[in-house]
Amino acid sequence: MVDLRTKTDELGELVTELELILPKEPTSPPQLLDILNKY
Amino acid sequence: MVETKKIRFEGDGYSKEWRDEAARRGLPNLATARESFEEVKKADVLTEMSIFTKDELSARYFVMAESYCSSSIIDAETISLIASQTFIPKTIHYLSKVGGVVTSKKSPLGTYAQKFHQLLENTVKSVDSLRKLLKKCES
Repeated sequence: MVDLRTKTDELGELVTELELILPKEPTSPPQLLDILNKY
Repeated sequence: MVETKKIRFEGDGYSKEWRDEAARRGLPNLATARESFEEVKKADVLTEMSIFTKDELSARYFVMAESYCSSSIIDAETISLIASQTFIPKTIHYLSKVGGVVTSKKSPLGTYAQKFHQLLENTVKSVDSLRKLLKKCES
């Protein structure tokens, strides 16, 4: 169980690293349309 | 003051310095949750003061251990799903998009892409080993 915890933490750190360096996705078209419709 | 002298420490309680000092003072070091659960089972002070009976202590140990195991398994399954269904495909997609721009491994862009590849590889390996461990837990 200790090993499972360690491995989970390791993968969590890798995922966090990926999240930090992957570019953020642009706002999706429906959301953009919502914003445009407001004005 | 004299009675509690052994457990008092003025430095950083998380440092290696304190672990060494605690060992020198003969204090127990329970580094993992499992070790601390074992101590609950052996806590004679609780039975001597009629707070819990031996059976109640034993029941508490099993409840704590089971809850710890379940949450560990849920955490592992969740992070492995997040990695394999979101981050790994997203990274592969991104690398295939920027792959054409990166031509030389010696250029700064090439080094950046190499780091990305390494990170992706490590993540895939980590997901695999975590899944193997989860299978062991199931069996």
